[in-house]
Amino acid sequence: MAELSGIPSVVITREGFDDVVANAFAGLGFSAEAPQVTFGADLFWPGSGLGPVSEKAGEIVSGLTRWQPRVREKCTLTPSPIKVQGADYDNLVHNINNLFLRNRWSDGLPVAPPTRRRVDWILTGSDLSPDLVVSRIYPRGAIATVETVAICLAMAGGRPEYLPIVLAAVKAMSDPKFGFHRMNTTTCSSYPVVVVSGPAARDVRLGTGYGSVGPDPAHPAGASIGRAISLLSRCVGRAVPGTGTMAIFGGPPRYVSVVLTEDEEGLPTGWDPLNVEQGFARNANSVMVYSISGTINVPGGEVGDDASALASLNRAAGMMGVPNGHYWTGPYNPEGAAGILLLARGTAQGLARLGWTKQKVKEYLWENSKVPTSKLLPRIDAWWVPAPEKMQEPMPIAMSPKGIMLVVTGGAQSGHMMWLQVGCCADQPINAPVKLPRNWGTLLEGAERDLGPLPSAGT
Amino acid sequence: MTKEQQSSLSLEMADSSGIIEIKNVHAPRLGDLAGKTICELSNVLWEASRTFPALRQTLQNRFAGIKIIPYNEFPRVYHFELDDVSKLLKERGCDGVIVGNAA
Repeated sequence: MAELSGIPSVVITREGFDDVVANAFAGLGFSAEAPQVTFGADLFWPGSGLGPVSEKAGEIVSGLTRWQPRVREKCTLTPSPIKVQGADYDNLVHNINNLFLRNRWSDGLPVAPPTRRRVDWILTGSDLSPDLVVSRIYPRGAIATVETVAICLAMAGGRPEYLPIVLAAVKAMSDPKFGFHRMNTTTCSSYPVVVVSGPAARDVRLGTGYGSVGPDPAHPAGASIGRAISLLSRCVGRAVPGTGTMAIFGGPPRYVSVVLTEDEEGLPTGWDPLNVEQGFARNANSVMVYSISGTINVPGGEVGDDASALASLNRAAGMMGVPNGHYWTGPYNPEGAAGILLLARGTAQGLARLGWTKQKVKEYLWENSKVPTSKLLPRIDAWWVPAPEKMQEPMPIAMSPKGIMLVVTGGAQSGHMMWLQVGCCADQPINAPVKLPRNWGTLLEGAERDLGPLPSAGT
Repeated sequence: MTKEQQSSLSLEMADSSGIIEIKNVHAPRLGDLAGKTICELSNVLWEASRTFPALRQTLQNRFAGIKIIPYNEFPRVYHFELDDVSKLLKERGCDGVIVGNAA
């Protein structure tokens, strides 16, 4: 960026993208304004008339010679409390949601008002200072502190015991190898998956039984945790369609992300939990974040004998082995991954009984999901196919079997599997420990008072 | 005070928009392009191969002594780290930069 070097610049863009460009400047630490000249979109189509270029050349010159920003000094802008009034309760709630929608501090769904009392309650879920910076959130590049995260969790209907998990996830997502800024700006409709491991996952009521990816009112944690992450992107990062995020489709998981936990009690003997594979001690509380662009149901995960085991694995491999260009961009490196295959307890236990270790399953899926290079050609865009030096015949979807992650969840049945297919943006899965506050036991007692007894595992 | 105001409810809430830290200010403008070196940076998309030459010709007709370094003498911006941009622009003596096409 030339302006960072003291060199003036002017950006040529299309009408309607001016906020996108301003956001990009804000993300670099400038005020949210930019020297730019906009053209009708048709200029950028093949064969367009070039008359507008000379007609607007004067504006381009002015951008380099005379343009002045409104903000000319470095400064820090801290948000202030907001007061909303209403004639009665209904009118107050109506006004609150309208305010959040008008200011784009929302995902479009109603929010729970982040009152001071509610935010303070959420903050009891962490021993960290509310002022501690957690991450910058792009494209706007605004700063999310522990308190900002608590505000978004309050808006998402969250509870204090969810806060350590959200903080860990956001911290992990701030790792450049996660590509959070790319996820929030790209035309690709990708979204985060957060896999929570360790006893804290069950403590906060993440489900491992039917509908473990949600929605599930008996296990509300995943929706609130994921929505808080999403709201941070909208409210703090201004990843709002058309001005910040250019995802062409978006999609339901952009409301609540994909938050799940592993059925660690249902893991077959010898199958390590995901976070142990990632280097954590057994029973450590941690999160793993990654970028996906699909939650694809794989029909038929029954495993009763050798033939049905192979049939199930072949069905999964068939769904995985497609010419998804994302496989071969950023994630195609020794630490990257093609995605996460969810297996219910029944499927995993059935495979293990027939001698399938976790590693053997990964190797089989890796080998049998390779894509013939004829399916990758013709080259529509060189970005979406492997670089020539990486090309193999057939082409693996990950560099090694390690790039196919397995997570056991979904209960005791063995009916279906689910493939969480990598999207653009992340180079590799990122892990972070979950730091529980000293009052963890007290928080869980509060949850039991509010929500009833902890549901049993796998249900 | 009206009857409605007397009966109104009020709720104070936290602002979720985060802290803005403006740590950079935009570069000073050039005043005039005559005799200046202007560099083009592009993603090489959206008809950049046609729009940039057209603009180049217009500017060269208007400003005496202007030197324009075409975008194809720089790496494509998607494959360009910020520090490398800065270094390269300084090495090439760029006084100003035209970036496009953000479409």
